[in-house]
Amino acid sequence: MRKSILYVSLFAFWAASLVSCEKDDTKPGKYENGAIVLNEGAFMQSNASVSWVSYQSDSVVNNVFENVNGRPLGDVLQGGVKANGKIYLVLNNSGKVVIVNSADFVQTSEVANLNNPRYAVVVDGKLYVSQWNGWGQKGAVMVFNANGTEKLDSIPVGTGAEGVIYSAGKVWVANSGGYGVDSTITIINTSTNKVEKILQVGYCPKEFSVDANGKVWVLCSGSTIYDANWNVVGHKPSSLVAINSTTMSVEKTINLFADKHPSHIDISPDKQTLYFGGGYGFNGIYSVQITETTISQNPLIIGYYYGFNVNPINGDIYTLEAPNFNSAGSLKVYNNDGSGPKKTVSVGIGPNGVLFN
Amino acid sequence: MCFRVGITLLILVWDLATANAQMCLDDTIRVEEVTVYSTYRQLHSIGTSLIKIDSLKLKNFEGQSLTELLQSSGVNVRSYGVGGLGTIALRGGSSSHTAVVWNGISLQSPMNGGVNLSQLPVNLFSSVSVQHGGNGTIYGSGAVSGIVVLENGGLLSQPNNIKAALLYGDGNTIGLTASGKVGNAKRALAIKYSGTSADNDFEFINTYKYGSPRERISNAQANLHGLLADAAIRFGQNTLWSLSGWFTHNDKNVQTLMSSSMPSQANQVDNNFAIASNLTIDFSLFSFKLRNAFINGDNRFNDPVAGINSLNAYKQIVNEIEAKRPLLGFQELVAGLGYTIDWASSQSYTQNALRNRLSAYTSLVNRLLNKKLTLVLSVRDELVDGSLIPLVYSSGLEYRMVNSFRLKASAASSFRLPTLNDLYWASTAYAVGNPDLKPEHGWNADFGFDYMANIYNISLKISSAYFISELNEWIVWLPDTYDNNRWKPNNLSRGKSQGVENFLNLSVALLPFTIKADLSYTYTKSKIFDSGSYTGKPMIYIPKHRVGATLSLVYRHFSFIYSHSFTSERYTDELNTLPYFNLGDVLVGYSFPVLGSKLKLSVGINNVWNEQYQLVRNYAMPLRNGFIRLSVEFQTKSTK
Repeated sequence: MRKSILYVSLFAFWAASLVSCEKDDTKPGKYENGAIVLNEGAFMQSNASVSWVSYQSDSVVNNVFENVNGRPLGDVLQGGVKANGKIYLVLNNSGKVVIVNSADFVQTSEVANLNNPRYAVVVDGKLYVSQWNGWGQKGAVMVFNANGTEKLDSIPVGTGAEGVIYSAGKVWVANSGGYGVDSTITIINTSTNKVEKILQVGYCPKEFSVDANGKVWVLCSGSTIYDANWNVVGHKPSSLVAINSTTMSVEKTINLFADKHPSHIDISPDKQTLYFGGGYGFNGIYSVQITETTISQNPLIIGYYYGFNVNPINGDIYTLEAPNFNSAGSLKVYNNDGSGPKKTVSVGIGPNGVLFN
Repeated sequence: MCFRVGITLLILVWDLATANAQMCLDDTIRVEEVTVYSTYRQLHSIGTSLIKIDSLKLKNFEGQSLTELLQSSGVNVRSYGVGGLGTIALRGGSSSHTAVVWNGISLQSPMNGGVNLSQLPVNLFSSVSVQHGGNGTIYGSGAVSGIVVLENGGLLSQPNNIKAALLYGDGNTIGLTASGKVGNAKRALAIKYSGTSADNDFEFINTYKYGSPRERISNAQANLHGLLADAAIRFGQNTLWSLSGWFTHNDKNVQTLMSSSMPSQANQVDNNFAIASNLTIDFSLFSFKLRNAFINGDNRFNDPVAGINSLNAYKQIVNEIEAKRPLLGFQELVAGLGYTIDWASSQSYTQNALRNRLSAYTSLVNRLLNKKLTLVLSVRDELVDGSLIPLVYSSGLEYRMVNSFRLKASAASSFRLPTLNDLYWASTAYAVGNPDLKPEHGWNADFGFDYMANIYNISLKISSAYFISELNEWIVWLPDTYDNNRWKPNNLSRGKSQGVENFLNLSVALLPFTIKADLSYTYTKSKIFDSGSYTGKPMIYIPKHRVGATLSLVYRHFSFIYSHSFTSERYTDELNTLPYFNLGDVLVGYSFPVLGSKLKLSVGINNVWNEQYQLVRNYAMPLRNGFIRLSVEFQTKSTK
């Protein structure tokens, strides 16, 4: 009796070590000809990831970066941009930009020691990264060479530097207010890396699109106002603002909602239709022609989408659901008229944006 | 980002971290057979797996916290970095499902349901036990998956003594413990102090960074001080009164995450104190116990980078009266009433939170078949702010078939009240509390045996138990699509776990050598249900396999201890896991008498195999590190 119990116990230990030594060594394929989904992950969990979703089929490869490079991508994948055969992935709470080959996702370099970085754009071999900096500080745009090995400049901008875009020889920076409220955008001349103009727009500008006429559109989210006891006591309204990129002045403002706050904007392939909506707690994705002055009160697509982007080739709308930050999110692809979804796939945790590779 | 700040606050209310160095020993023993059950609480270990940490091990861990002690004792501990928030989750569930009880009083914060074990120095307590499996009838809310039992009893029977120890270790760790006890068999006073200062800048390999550089843990400095006073007075033959109080102060920087390229600047300061009075009166036909306690905790968190400066505080007043009397010669009836007030204040609440709890319980002990069979049946109910929660019950059975073999079984139901955070979290655009939450409820059952044999100089003990448990109405914070996607707690999920727990203790006395080997193996299969795409996946941070082994050798004044643990892969969310790891620790000691005292010099090496591992994702743990400790003890032979 005693012997048999001892043998059983020893066998259990041996079996345990065998089971636990099993490893998954899945090999991914190449990552072009597909959508690159940026999965933000949960704050402080360092479980940000990238998913690859085929254009042609329902094939999905999740956790691409870690599969290829053998380590986690980082904490809070806020944004990304593709340029010159590279993809630049901005890891907000890791304070870094990871640079990978767009074809095989092998990491080639990185930019570290950033303070609350948000989004990036690449212009003429230079990487521009917006960052909030710390609490109570103004934001900045950090400038590096394209492989991130050399810091070229640091340009002070407004509070909560968020979305960045390149247009008409300038980098446009949305000063979202960050932890508070700002209502400006900063326009930087990329030849000199000097601020050309600080322009007043709507409340909490976040993201840009450029239309067929070269006008820069900025989505201003507005914000919720609380009192000291967390009671909601009011709202700053949201708006869409069109800017003449030559004169750098506001040409048109479309008022959106008095008490709702969309976070994202993108544009159709012909650059005639703007799409806006999504973000935390906002229901729906809306569309509006660039010639309009008001919006329809009916969303094109109903639902809570943490992010979305428009395929620049066919105009499909890639919407992203983040049911929570502990489980897989999903990608739903809609036609440009809002019909669908024609494709639904499971992706990583907290998807917030799509790059088209 | 505002959403992140909201979630950060949520995390922070959980986060009550502290500091200490780490070292490991593994000489956990199964508790000896308890044949006389003196209190209602001890009755509830009948039929369960109860692990008592032996006194030698407690001594070896003086100057450290319960996190390190339990981690080395076959218990699945989650530690947010070196000296960071330390919690345990037995048999599944979350950390709020394992109660931590001090002298019969639950230390779970009413704000978040958690207890930070890293803030509790080992040497403040004279006894530490871990009961696997929940029991709501005795410990009330929160004792769902298991119970950590901390006690300061038996003061009158302890010899008078003075002890002190000094520790220095890697990470610039300096520790001092000192304690003294004076008194006799009628009245006694004990004072205990533990202080640790550590930079905790241990080396680790940062596998989260490009090129996997070798780095040092940053912003993990800590200062932890704990002071306990314990007094006991016996009045006549029948009355014993004890008064205990402790205070801990913990000033702890919050460790930089592995994935972060910017050093953390966060810091938190916790001040906790508790005072408890226990009065026991034994008459010939019945006895009763009166217990009163006041517990206070406050936590200030500061992160200048994120602009967070929060203050959370809670207070609890606990009152219990309990009576026990024998019936029919083979039975014993126990009944008790309790009244608890929970109060909390937070910048994240719209108003201060207040909760009143009135409880009643009773238990019947039966000793049958010539006392070979012990059967305990219990029931409890609670009135929480005027609402009656569902009845909970428990039963435990032990049957001694022969002197060396005992069958045991238990079944119990349990519950966990919503935390005050769950109920009172302020309504913002991002999160909102839910005053309509129901208590979580669950059940668990055990079946197993104990086998003991003594042959010549060899002593062998084997224990094995199968367990199964289920938790329903699990409160989970998720975005609510019917409420602008705000994060909100709801009774959503269900959890189920089952497995086996095996313990083997072997000791061989081949004088002048004494050899002891302890093995433990726990298999846990856990699953979550009704949780969206997470359904069917294992609970997070619950390893399927955990193995612990300790070999100790004593030769005259020398001692050598090697302990090893294996922890299998753990899910950290639906899609990610932490890999398995092995940890080995070595401790070599030499003790010798000097001028009537006993001196002991110990040298230890932690993580001797230099394993790179994490207990919680993104929080680095140290590579190989060492320490040296000198302790001195003066002790009388008797209190008489």
